[in-house]
Amino acid sequence: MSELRAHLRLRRGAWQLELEFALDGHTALVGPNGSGKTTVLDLLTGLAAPDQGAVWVAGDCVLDTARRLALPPARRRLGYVFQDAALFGHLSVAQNVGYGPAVGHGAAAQVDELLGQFELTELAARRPLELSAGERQRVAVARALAAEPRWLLLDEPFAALDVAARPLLRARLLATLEVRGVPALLVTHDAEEAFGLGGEVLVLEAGRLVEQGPAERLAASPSSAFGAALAQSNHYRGQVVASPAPGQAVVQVASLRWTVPTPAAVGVPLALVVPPAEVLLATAPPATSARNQVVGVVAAVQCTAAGCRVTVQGAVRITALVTPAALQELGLAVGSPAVALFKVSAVKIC
Amino acid sequence: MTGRRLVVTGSLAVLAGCARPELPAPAAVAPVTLQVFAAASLREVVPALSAAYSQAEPGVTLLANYAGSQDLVAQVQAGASADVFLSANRDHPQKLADAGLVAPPVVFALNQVAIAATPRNQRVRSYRDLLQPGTRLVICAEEVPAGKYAGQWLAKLPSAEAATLRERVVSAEASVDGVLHKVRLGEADAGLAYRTDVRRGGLRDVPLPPGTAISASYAASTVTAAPHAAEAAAFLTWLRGPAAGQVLRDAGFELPAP
Amino acid sequence: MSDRLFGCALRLLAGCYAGLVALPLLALLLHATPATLAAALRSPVVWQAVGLSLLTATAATLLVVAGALPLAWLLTRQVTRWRGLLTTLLELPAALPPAVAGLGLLLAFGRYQLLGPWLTRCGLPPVALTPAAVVLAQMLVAGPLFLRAARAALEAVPPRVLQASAVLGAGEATTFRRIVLPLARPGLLGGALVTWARALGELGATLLFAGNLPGWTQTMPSAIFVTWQVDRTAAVSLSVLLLLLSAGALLLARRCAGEVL
Repeated sequence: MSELRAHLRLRRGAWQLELEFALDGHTALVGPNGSGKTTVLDLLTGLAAPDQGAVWVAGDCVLDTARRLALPPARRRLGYVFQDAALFGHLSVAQNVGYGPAVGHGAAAQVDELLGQFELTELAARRPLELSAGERQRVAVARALAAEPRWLLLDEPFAALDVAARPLLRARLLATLEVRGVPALLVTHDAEEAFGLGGEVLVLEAGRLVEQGPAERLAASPSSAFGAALAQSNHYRGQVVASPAPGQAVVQVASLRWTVPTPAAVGVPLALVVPPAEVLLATAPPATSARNQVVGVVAAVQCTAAGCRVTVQGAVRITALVTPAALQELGLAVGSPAVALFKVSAVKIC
Repeated sequence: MTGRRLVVTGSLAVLAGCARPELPAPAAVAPVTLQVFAAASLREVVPALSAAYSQAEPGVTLLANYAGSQDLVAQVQAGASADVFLSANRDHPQKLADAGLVAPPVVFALNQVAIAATPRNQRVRSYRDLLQPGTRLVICAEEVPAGKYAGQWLAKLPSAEAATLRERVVSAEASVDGVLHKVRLGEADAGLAYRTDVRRGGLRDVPLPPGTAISASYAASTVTAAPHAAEAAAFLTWLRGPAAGQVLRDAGFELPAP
Repeated sequence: MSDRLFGCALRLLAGCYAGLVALPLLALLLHATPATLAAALRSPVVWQAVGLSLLTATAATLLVVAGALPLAWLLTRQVTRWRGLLTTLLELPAALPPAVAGLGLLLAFGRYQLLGPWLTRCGLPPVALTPAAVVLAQMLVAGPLFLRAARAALEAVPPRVLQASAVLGAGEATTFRRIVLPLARPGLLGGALVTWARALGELGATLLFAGNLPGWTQTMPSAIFVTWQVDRTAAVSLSVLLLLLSAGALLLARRCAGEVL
């Protein structure tokens, strides 16, 4: 995979952006609104110019203010998927996807293939106005890939989609990127979405990178802003091992097997989120309709006005949010054996 | 012009009525404003006539409305409030008189068709120069009295020369003012207008070939529906008298035989 | 009750205004019979005026588009402090009395004025009192209508769409041709048609700068202006013809705008 390296400095009144990074695979750029995430993408692609900085794509210098070098966006060979898709309203879906090849970037022959990969073949003759938000975003991604970019930059591409549709598109996107060998830089304000991408995470706050590293490592560190954001919920990574019913998959997480609501096929890697409020506690494995459980001992109890957060350590760690009364009735304390349970529908795929 | 300014001042005084200090008492006769519809080529002489008349008749002010005679005819036909109609020809008021809208017209002044050459270049010094290739000549459209006179003048020329002159025409303007404007700026080398216009300055008078003089008559009539019929009639009588005659002659007009 | 009163007042005022606008048009149409129209069209003077008007208005519109479209695009993209002032200046001729525009043209292009002597030295014939002057007068007076329409149409193209084209590998020229022009097309066409209609009706500046000579510089409006007292039938026929042409152009312009909605 090619490397994307940059150092950038930009001042806009009181607001300042200053960062430096070197990426060599899927990366999520996370940060709150206004932290400058979109600006970073604009600077990398050449849609905006930094006061000072340089950008290398796969070893090519596309920007170096010190040498007064700044390739125009058209010559940087970076794909950019905007938050609002920004499709060409006067062109059909096929013409949108074929735009890059039509202006000399990418092979026209792969347009049909991309239309197929993003399930757009039947929509090929439609105009963007006739599409749903999800379909538009699929066109935008396919259009960006058709120009054969060296990197694909995505600005909150799933924000306009309903929550249920996001994992599917992401899985499809990751699979396609894998095949084409194109690394992605995904901008999001959602820590879970960043976690779901599975690569490195850059955390941007007020124009500065405050953290950088593999998602797992940051997530494990409670002092990390990214970790703190994730700590609100339970996160797991696993792989589909069986598909017992349409819309359901059995996922292997550590030594456990959980049933989750997704049409993903066997072998697909998944990132799962289980909200603590959806987790029930018991003292022993009960007879219950809940398909998923973690058997272990209570590792921590932390009570606040919002309730008590009880962490159970088994094959994995899981945190449940329960009322102080429930905690008392169960007689749970640090060290006592406990079972955490949650329903299939409680699992979110990110 | 003087007339208009007087009226404006008067209405301002009325507007300022409340705060108005005592004014000298008006003359015994209530002041009268005569609406004079005058041909555009009288624009320069009517203010002079107005000034002279205000000495003869202090109670009467002239308020002039200038336009091409053909436009004035249309305005009178449409029932515009007018007392006196001064036309650049006889035909127009005669047409109105036939319809009973004005009294039979009386010729009060004569003018001559003249060639006005631009001061911007010396291209046209004589009538012959008009015939040179490349000379730019402007006339009035045949719908305008001055255009009719121009046609009559061309008819008096040898037909080959008239044809050449027609080829030299670069514009047939909708009024004499348009002709003068273009000649003054030098866009045209020469134009056909009235002697009085050429005298007004800024233009060079090029003599017409002998025997081709065209005389234009200015005719005056009182409007049948005039708001001030008596004063209008009195003004017309004065207009044909010696005082008005002097003003007209000073402006370059000739007077009809008595 | 007060709502009812409001409704009545609304309809009354609207009706009065609509009547005021419609009545003169109706009067013109009532005045012209098909027979007189046909007769007028056979008259060479009318025919020449119609031909010249169509030719000059079309030429003026094309020339305006050629110059004002790039200008509008530059104004849309360049964010300068002077943009507001510049735009006002460029749109001013549409607000001026046409006679002022004509006078300005005379003083700029006249044989002995600003540019004239220089043009003469280059061996060019005088501009004033020629068909070229008709076109220039129409351009000056009608051009701002196109400029305004073009700016609105170009500004409506979302910046992100232009950027998408750039990132996909298209240069500025390609983006303009493949994205900007097609997206702005309805607005540009509508603007051009309105401009054409205005150019067709131009009179004041034309009379001053181009003069009036049948078959040379006499447009439909000049012909109407000069002939109306003498030959009212011809004038009315010409007016009706002008009315129909302008109405056609404006209707087409509306259809173009409708495509955007």
